[in-house]
Amino acid sequence: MNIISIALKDLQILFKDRGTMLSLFLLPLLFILLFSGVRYGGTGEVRVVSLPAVDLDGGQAAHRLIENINRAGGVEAKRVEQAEAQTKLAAGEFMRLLSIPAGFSADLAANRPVALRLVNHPDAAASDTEAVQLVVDGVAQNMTLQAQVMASLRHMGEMWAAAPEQQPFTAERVVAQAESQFKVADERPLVSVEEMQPGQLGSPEEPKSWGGMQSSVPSMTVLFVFLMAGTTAASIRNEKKVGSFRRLLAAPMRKVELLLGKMLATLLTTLVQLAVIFGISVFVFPLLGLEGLKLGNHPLAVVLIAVLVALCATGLGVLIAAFARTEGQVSAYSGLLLWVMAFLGGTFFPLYLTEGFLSQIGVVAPHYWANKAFYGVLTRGQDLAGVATEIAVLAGFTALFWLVGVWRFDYD
Amino acid sequence: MNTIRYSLAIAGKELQVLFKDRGKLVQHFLQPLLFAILIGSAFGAGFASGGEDAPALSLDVFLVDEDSGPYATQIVNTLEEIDVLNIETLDSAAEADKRMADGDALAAIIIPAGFSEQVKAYEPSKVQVILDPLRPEGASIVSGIVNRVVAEVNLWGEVAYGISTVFEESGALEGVSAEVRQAAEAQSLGAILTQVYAMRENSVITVRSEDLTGAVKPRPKNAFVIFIPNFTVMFAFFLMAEIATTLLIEKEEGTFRRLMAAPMLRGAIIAGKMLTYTLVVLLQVALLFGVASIAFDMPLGESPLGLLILSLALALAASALGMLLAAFAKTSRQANMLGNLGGFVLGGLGGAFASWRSLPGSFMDQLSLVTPHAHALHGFDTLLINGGGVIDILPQAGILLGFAVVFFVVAMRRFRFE
Repeated sequence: MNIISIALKDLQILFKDRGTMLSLFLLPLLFILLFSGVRYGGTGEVRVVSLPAVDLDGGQAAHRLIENINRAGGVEAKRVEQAEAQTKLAAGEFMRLLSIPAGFSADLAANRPVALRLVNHPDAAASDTEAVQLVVDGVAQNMTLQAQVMASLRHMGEMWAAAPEQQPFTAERVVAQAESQFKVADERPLVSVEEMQPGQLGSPEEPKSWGGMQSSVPSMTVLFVFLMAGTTAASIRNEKKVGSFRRLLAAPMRKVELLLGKMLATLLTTLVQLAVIFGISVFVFPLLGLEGLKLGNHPLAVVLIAVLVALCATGLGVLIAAFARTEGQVSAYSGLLLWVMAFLGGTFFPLYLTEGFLSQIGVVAPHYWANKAFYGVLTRGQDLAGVATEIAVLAGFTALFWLVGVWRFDYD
Repeated sequence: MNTIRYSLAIAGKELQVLFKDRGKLVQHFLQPLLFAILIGSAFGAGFASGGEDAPALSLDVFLVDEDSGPYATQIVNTLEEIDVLNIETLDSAAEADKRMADGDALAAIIIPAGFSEQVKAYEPSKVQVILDPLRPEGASIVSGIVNRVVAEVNLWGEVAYGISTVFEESGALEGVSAEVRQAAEAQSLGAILTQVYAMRENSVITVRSEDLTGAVKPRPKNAFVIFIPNFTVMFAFFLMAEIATTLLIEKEEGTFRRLMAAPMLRGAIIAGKMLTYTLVVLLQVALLFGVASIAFDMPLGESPLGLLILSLALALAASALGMLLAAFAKTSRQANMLGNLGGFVLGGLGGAFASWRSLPGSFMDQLSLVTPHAHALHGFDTLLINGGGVIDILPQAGILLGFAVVFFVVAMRRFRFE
């Protein structure tokens, strides 16, 4: 009973504080919107790099080059006028420009060297430039190969033509066969690439398009739920400083009840926080024309992970309060610890972009496991068993934080 | 003259208070430094330490070859030659699927059993690619690469089929045994292959990647050149919470009134505060840029004067924003809350978390220009990445000073000393 009264008191104080309300609900939502925009250009769709192309040739090969670039995926080539393109590139409206020289088709047909120019603006993102380069190089290589095959066929046809017994094997005939096949192959390749998502092997569905929400909602929510640990610690320190903690201790209840009451308040707050952020992401974002969060096929697993994250953050709050001696230390510790752990846990950018020890050191942060568990269940099609390791580690962190925090807590 | 002396005295007092507070030192200097170093090193491997030819990307990919036929081997060999792919070979498609569900790689490429036979028989066949739904930007690159590699197999499949069709139609091999037919076809294919491989020494189409001046310019190889300015600018503007809070606490605790009773201009109190935090920002810039330059070889550009001017303009804009906040906030608590919120929101909008300029012309890129952050970042890019000089950053420095003046004038009109 005492625990509940303490929790209720804390909740009242907390929910009256507009600043806390902001950091509980508004900031996480702002971060979610910002970060889903950072990685996906704000549209919620997978970003396709646009590639303006000036076609000074106008021939069939130039046409095929542009079509093949578009077919390769990831890059969208669009024809533009040369004068317009130069102006826009100089002004930074275009980040890059592909220039197909005059005589491209004729040179290619005659197997003469031709050069495509890919001009990059200094502000162009390096990864986009690399992606475009890969695609254009690839298409150019295949067209090179086709041109070379044609040239060698023609050559062989000429040799055969010299041998009267192989008369039906004319150069024209061979080349005609090859041309007709290449034309069909561009449209309907002999070997195609079938894309799918984890869990769809054997039962391929139309690949779903996932946007930034699937990663930014869980990672930002985890960040801000753990930041509540700082608020909890600060509230405990503040009560100690003001002296109300000592007065509560004089009340007829056990010390641990006081602490557990405070922890219950934090737990309930973080649960509400999780529910509100996920709820808004699932139901309200689509109403605003944004991409909504999809909960995957195992909503119960999502709930379980959420509860575990809330428990873990609560424990961490008490742990910080137990070790920090002054209010200043609380804010310094929690600031450093919580942001650095979130950073290491891959909250701000995908860990695969990092290399070396930093891509592995994340395992020391509960954030890492929480993010991984959410990602698995929400987006990678995992069920509870699939994220058993993540859940076990998260539970381990929780137990450790609670035990050490409550054991080391200094009531006086 | 006295006003300047008083301002300096106030600033001296402020700095003493500040430097005695370990928490604040951590917050203003250690935290930005730690973040910048962590993030910089995190991306360092992809940028800095890989040498000139290192790709900007390293993509983890699983590869399963359940076929092992000639066409599958061709795909595997080609994939292994591509530097951006970091390939791990797995035994079965099921294992790849499971590990993809764990998020262990960006993509798994699976060549199913019977693949080569199907290509030989001119039957449509498929290479399967499992993509990580959470990292579409990397996954789409892998899918582009696979498409390109597969296209080459397609070509050989087509050529082989073409040869056998022409033989068929020509009737040249009528009545001969299957062995002879196969040998003839293989011989023709071999002849074509030999010729094509000889020609491939000289690629017909080359792709020349160049910058606006036509020069082939390397992109920045040092990740710190992006992250250090981002963090410097973000943390500089975070100071607004601190500036406004200390000012309002002085007001709340009554020391402000006491200072007012002293024989000095009110402006001196404000100027003293601004001077303090202008210095703090300059120290932050010096510390972050210094450490990054000494420890991580971050280039500092070619214009120390330009760097100083831009940093000063940044410092003035940031401390004036603090004043503005102090003028509008009612209590120190409110100032703290609004300041932190503003630090995050303006930092995010301004591109200090991730550059909006990588999405040029986008709505966010345009919107970012309302924040002083975006202009400061642009200025640092000009100096550090593009090797610009004082003249090149004058527009950005001017805009920052413009922000500073507007913030300051509005703050002075609104601020209630009593």
